[in-house]
Amino acid sequence: MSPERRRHTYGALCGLGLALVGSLACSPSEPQQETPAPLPTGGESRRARVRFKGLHRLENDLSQALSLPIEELCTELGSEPCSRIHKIALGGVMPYTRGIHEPLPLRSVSNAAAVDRLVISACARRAELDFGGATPPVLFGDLTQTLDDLGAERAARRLYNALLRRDESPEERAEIVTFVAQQKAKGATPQEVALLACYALGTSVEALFY
Amino acid sequence: MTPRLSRRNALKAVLGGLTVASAGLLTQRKVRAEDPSEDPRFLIVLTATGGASIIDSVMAVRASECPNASRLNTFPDEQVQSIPGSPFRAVKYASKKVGPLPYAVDTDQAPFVKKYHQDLLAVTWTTTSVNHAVGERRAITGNEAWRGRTLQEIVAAYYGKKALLPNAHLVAGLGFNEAGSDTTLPDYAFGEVVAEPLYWPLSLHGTKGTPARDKASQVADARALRSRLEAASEMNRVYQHAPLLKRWRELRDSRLPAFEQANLIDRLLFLPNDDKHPLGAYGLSPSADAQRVRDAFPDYDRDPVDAQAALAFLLLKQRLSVAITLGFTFELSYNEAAGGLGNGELPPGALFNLPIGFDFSHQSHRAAQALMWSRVFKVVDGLITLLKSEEYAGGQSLWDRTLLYIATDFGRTKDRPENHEGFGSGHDLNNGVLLLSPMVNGNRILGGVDPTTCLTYGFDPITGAPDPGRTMNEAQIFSGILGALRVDTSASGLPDVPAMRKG
Repeated sequence: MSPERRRHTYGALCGLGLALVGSLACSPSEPQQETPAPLPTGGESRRARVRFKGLHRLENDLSQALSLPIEELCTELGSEPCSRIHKIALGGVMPYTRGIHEPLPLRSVSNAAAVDRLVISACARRAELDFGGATPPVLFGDLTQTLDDLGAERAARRLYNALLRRDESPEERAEIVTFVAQQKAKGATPQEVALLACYALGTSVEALFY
Repeated sequence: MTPRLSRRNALKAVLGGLTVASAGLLTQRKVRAEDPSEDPRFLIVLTATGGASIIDSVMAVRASECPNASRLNTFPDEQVQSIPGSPFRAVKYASKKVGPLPYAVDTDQAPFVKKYHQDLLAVTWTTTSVNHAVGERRAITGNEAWRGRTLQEIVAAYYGKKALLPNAHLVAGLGFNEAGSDTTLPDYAFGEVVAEPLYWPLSLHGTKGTPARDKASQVADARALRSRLEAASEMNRVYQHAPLLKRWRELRDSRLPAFEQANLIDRLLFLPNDDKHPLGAYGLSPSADAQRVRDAFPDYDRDPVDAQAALAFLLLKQRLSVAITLGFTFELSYNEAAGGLGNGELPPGALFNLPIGFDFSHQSHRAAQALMWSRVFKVVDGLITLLKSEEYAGGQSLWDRTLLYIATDFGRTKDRPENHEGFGSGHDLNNGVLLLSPMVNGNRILGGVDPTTCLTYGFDPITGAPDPGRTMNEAQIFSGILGALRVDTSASGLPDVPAMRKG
């Protein structure tokens, strides 16, 4: 087998393995009973090429992660869809009305602000539904009134599974647990903690770039 | 042994200290005086997209002056008015339709030209491309005259170091919006595109107006958590040096907080606080100047150029930008509030912008030019009125520090079928442009128009004397604009054109 071919075969096996591990890891479960699958070891990427998800991928991913219809993710001033108002800032195009045929390079502060606004609104909507009591909670059910560590760990697992499609590492889990405890000490409600944790993870580069 | 401090030594030391201190102060003053961003001037590029013809405006030719009047773009004498005390002319034109469009045009350029002739400078040129995108780019780079930098980038780099949005493009997708090719300019000099001027201020703050609007401290905690989570992630390890992620973190972690701190969202929102836009319910408030700009540009919520002009003024007033690009595009802009076809005609005020802008001259030259020039002058009038009403400093108004360049792609062909009034025109290199500013050599036409051909000719760049044997090129006009703006072009190799600047 040529070295080239061997590399391809190895890559395919690795990919299959990762897919299996990934599918097992997708359902939220007890964090203590599972050790996160180790990611392939190796150094820093030589090319380090990443891409911004852009408007539609971002909306689709958020919609799936938070179990919300796209039109419910975000509105400005109660009625204007963020996907229209911030279309260009979120990496969309407006070929017919503005002559913008390709997403503009990420060079504007409005890129970052629009992402924040989109994710905050979407997370707030999910938290509002989960804590509203009208329907069973989808994402934040583990953040009960006591905001205890176990609930925080479970919430961390659910958030990572939903927003990043992977399990959290022990270090990441510890960060979330600490954050929840700190917010609890500051008098934050579970709904507020849910919104803030969701925002923090939903606007992290791993959630926005691929 | 402790050195003895004599009175003489003490005096020397004090005087020496004073000398050093005063030298420091002088140096600081010198640095301050030499830093152009301390005392900026402002550039507005207003895009007259599609080919605004100078001989359908202040350099119009009367039929009686032209031996070939019936075959050239000349006007019946009564449609060309002279403006007292100025070399300019003004076209008064009416038509029941614009080519195939059942839309009545009734325009008169005289009030505008009379009002602003002292600050108005017309310069002729012969450009190098009749391709829209190429012509537009060359109109702002002087055909790549200074390492491919655009006028807006040069002004932003020179005057905009302290501005948060030095180079704002409120219109997009045109050659006038292209980035220049000199990547050595500082990042802040490159254009920032604003696609929706009406709502864009909302995207200058991450949380204000959102469900987390009253949780500033908690959001700060969440952002800190985000940074820690990112630092702990595998993605960070693998892609930590990705240029795009570095830039993203710079935008998100440094620039966004600065914008939020400056509260630009409330300083730039000019929407009214009403049922349609319940700003108050979301913890927002309109700019203190919102009513003024809405009064100046009453179609702000229907006409994209009115919205751009309103935001342009606020950006200048707040010293957030030093170069602003706004204006007309190729897109039809229809005023739905005017209603639809009634009696087979479009109602008055129905068209904010013709389809393909000035380029609709292909279908109907004279009516398209008349309608589009009237639209350009209306927006310019609104902007200048606001800028004149705003003090810059020391008794100067903002307008005293601003140059408005009506940029266009190229000219239009000068010929027409015999005696045809509804003729269409093509693209032509020969043309001229309008500049408005107290800083330009106003109330002048530099160059002239040959009435036998309707072609413009040039001028002496030093004295401004008309020269029928000369045509001006893009680099000369580009340089003249920068000269009027007092930009230091000494390292550029550009030709000096003192005839275009005042004083």
